[in-house]
Amino acid sequence: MYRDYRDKGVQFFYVYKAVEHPEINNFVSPLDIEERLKHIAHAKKRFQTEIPWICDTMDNKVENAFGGAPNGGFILDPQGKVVRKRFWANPQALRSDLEELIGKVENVTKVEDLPTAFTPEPRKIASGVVPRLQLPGRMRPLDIQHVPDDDNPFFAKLRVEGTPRLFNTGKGNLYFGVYLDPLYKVHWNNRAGKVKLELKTEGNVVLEQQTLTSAEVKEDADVDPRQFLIEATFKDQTAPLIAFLTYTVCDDAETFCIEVTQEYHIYGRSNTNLGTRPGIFLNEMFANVRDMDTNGDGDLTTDELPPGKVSMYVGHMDYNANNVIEKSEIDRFCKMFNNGRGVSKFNDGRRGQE
Amino acid sequence: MIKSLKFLIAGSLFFVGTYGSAQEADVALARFNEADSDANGSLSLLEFKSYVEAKLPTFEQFDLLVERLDADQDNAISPEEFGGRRDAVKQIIANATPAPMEFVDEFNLQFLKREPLVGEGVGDLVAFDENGEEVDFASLKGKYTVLNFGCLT
Repeated sequence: MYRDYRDKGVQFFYVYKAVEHPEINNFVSPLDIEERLKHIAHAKKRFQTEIPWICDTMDNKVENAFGGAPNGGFILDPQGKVVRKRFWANPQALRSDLEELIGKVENVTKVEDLPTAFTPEPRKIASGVVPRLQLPGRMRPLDIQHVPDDDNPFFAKLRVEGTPRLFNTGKGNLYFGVYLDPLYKVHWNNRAGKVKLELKTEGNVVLEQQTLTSAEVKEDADVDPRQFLIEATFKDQTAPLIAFLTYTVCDDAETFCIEVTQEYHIYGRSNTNLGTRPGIFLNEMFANVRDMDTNGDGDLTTDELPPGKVSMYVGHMDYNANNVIEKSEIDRFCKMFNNGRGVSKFNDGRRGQE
Repeated sequence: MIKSLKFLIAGSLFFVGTYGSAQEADVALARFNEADSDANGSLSLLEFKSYVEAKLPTFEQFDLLVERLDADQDNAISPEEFGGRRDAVKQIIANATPAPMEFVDEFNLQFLKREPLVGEGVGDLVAFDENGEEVDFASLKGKYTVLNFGCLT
């Protein structure tokens, strides 16, 4: 569509917003603009796209100003006013809108006219070797701020989530997930030490445990997240729980290994700009996708999809937009979605990672 | 939704109007006689259709109603068969659940009510281009602009 309408007075932008579902393809939430720009550079290369990007500010001003939709689609008129808006951008609907606003295009660009997506070489570090915790449902991310580290990037990043009860009553389960950031191509050095999380509070939070240490891992190196789940009571949502995260990583090229300790401030309130882990929503939605093929022909037609959710499935999986989710598209989706996350029902034997 | 509501209201009036009293059987017979314009003791499908259309203008499943009532399949409704119309209509209405609204459409509908509304601007906004240089949204004016929000996940 960009190719079809860029010479007809229409400008296109992808707007990079806060990471919605960390862990898909192993990505975790960037902590600063530089990391967001690295994500954009990765996406441009990965998808071979010519469309220019706008990067949202770290306080998500653009996302919030446009209503906070995770995959929103908008058309602004030349005066800057919204003329079309969708919670989920939809390519067919966008084309129809542009045909209405600008006019039809004679020679529509086809998917096969576009450059092929770039597939990075899979890393050779072990994954799926550390068992995942069974976490309570409907957990939401807490507001968390990092204390900038002048010496090292945040090779590993902390994600903290709470159960609804925690946000409603102050008391509930608190989840700490420590995820390696694939931007830095590093892995855990399990011979050098375990991941340690020390929690400090000035009486504003009551914790089941104050020092959390990861379990022994047999492999010398891996890239799996380290996870902890404890009971906590926040007496004051405005005073931070201070976390010191200590870990040792080596880069994949084995040019360095380093132990770092980095600091986070965690608040007992929900951060609505951070999405849920895919296990909470997408996992439930797509877990049985292969079982939906009732006639067993390998493809999913719209009548095989759950009523009321057809466009959701088509929107996520119908890459060539022909209203049929072909076997190759299911394979592609499962590969992308399962990438390194260890969700068994998606697991089609390919647990590679970027 | 509005259509379904009208349908339900009409259906309820139909039941209440027809069988609300203790003399249900008498009322049913009176209704039958009212519908039996040629007074031959049986309702042709045309007679029955006229009756249903008059009593229940939004009811669109006449063929299904006949299928349920016409037990002897003689293409006519006897007084006994006519007496079962209440339950038949009730069952048809209960089964006529509207198609579920698409998950995404539901979100879109709610999203339309959220600011910025269609016809509104978004005020002053400054973000970054892919090189980290500042981008003022005011500079996008002058052309139609398509914005597609997303991230790597």
